[in-house]
Amino acid sequence: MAVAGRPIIKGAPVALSVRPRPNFVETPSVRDLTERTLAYLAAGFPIHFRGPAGTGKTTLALHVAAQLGRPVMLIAGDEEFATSDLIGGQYGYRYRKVIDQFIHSVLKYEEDSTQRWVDHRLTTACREGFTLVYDEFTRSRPEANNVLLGVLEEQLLVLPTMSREDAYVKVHPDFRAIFTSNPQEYAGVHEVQDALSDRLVTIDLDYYDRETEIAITAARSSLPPEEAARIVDLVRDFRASGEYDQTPTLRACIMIAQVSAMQDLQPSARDPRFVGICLDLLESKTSFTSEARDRRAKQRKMLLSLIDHHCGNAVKKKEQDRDED
Amino acid sequence: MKIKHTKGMRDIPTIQGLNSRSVPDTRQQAATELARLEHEKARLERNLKMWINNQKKTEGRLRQVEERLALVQQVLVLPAADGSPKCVQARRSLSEESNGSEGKGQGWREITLEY
Repeated sequence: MAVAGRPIIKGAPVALSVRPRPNFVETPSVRDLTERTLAYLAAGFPIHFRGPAGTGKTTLALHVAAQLGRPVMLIAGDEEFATSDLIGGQYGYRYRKVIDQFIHSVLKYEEDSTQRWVDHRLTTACREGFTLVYDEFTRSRPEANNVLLGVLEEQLLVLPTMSREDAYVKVHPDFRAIFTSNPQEYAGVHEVQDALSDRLVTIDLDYYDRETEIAITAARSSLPPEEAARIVDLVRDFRASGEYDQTPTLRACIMIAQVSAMQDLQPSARDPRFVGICLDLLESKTSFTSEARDRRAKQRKMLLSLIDHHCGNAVKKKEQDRDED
Repeated sequence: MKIKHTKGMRDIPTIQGLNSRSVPDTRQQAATELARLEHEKARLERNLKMWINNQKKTEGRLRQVEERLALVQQVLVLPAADGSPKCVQARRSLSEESNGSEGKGQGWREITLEY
């Protein structure tokens, strides 16, 4: 994600205007998923994209949000989040002093101070009808997300009592919510409470199909599609092998392809620099412990054979034959 | 022709009685009335000039009050979304409108995010 804009001026809330990169890839599978999601959102249901790391949940959420054409409020879930981090809170004081001497012999003197309320992103989104993208919301503790229950069901945001005159905020009709979460992640995530999960339309995302992964890799790296295809096939075969602790994703494809393109390398098993990049990025998917040394050695051997299989002479010869035909 | 001498104040024609008075029949009366009317005309012209100036000043002042009124009303209707003083928001909003910046009278600022 790339953010561009003016320096932040203190005070006014900042919303995001999301738009696709010039090289954004929208394959039929992405388009189908987007249209399905927009149908649910149009009916007023919040969406929850659930899937492992590297399946494009956040990008898809932003893409869907862009189609809605409303400013976007992006929140990233965090263990330290409390309800006030979503809705806002009392920050500082506002002092007022009145000295009234309208009649010169009568001095009227009043002074009071009130706590100042500041809206946070959820409140701003509800008031203004923005699209809320709550990324990795399961990283926030479940009790912090309780305030969402009323927002999603009764369309009412309940602010802490005694905080301000409008303790209830009627949710704007244009307000839409998109959530993402990774159920396979075990570090720093929480369970979703049933009440919230029940209000969400959950769409499970898996790794994209080969064509989409090739198109995205080629677009993000400027490599020709046939060269991007070799890298994608290599990573997909490694993913299918199961010989890793951390699943190799599309990000690995993009990293290998981008570095290769920048270094002007051909994805070839004969180029030791390309092989080195592949090993650097894919070998790290196995945990580094003294016990796993043998396993790492086996994994390296398997990776070298995969590189040779997908980027070796046999492939080059096959492509040359195809070109001649 | 018999000359009529003024005997007292009531014989001196006043401006207030001009409309209901008959047309003077003597030269002296006519000259007196003419002089008085010329003075009155000059006085009314001075008055008119002063009133026109006053009208212009009042219209200018009225315009200023109306502009100020609109400004204060805008402060009242603007939501205090960011918790900053409303007058600050109003100033910001007005300056953003005049600068043609991203605010465009909205209560928020937008930055672009490419995905």
